[in-house]
Amino acid sequence: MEYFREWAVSLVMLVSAGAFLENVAPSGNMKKYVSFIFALIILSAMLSPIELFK
Amino acid sequence: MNYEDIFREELERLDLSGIEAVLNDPLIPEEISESINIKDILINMITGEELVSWENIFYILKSLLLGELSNILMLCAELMCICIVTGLMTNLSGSFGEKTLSKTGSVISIFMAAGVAITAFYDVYAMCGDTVQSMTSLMGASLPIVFSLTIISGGAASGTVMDTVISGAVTLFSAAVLKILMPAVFISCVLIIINSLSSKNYVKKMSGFLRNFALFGVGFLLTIFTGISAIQAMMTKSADSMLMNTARYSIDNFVPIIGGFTADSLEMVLTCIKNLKNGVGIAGVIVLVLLLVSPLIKTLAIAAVFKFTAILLEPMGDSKISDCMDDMGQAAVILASLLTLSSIMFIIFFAAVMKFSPV
Repeated sequence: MEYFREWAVSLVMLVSAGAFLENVAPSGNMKKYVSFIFALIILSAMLSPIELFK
Repeated sequence: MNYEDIFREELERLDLSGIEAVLNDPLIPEEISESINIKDILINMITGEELVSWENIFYILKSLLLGELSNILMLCAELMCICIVTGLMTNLSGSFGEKTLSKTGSVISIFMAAGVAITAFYDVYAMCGDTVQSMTSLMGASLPIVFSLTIISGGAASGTVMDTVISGAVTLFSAAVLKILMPAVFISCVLIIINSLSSKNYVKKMSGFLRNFALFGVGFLLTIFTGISAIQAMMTKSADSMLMNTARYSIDNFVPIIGGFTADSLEMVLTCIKNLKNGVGIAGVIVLVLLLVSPLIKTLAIAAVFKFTAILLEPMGDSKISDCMDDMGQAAVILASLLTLSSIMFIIFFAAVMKFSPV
């Protein structure tokens, strides 16, 4: 259960960082890339408990 | 020798200190635990008077409820202030010129609102965890008494088998609820708050999934454990009545002169002990309900506050925070239903133990 607690904490940190940085991202073309990168990071954080099944 | 004397004599020999220790738990309001005594409940059961003074308890509960309301209004006022400031900033962000600055300001004020809400939610969550813990220790204290009484009153097979089954089931159920289901609800609540920080929905579906998982899990566990207890009780009941009838018949007919009297007085003592066992079971159920009441009222009050805040925020224009508060209220309601279903599970265990009585 400690594992899931840490997983939740890391997810919270990543999402709040993503939300925050999305606001200060420069507008224009860079904005799309920044939000896509953050979406990928959050996706990989969400899928990280799969390593338990190895 | 009548029933009442035998009952009182056996009652004196019982060791009820475990159950009384649970009554001193801080979750039960002191006024209630002072006015209730386990031995009085058992004696009232045999003399036919009312078990506990219900009017007294209702009166105390009503005053508790009103006390809770005043605490809750404070929290509501805090949340409302923070959210109104947020709404103001979001709506007027254009006129501040620098768009990024005002957006950052609104993110920070959402963080503040989230802090207040999470603190309140964590208090309720810890209280619910403590309640389930107390209920488990109550079961741990009263189950040995009930099982030893069952074995004495003739249910040897049921006593030994059900002892293992029910103790194992209680431990498993409370571990599952405390370690898996309740943290799932809490994590879901945290995720829904985080989700409201950005306009894009990052983790909303994950939070919904965790909430449904907790509800489904507790329903599933309830069904399984009730089924196991019911089947076990049915199987051992016939073995015990066979044993009892054989013993009674053989004493009655094979012991020469005093056989008849002995068999009858044996039956009288065993019936008294069976009633005592049922009485302990009923006292246990009453204490369980008392443990449940106060935390349940507090949890539902917090849920009502969140929902009320969501309603008041809806016209503000920023639908994100209103949805977030709404979902937090939902999570608090699910926590309350987890609590209720666990106490129903324990009451079912008590009822299963009281139900199988041979003779």
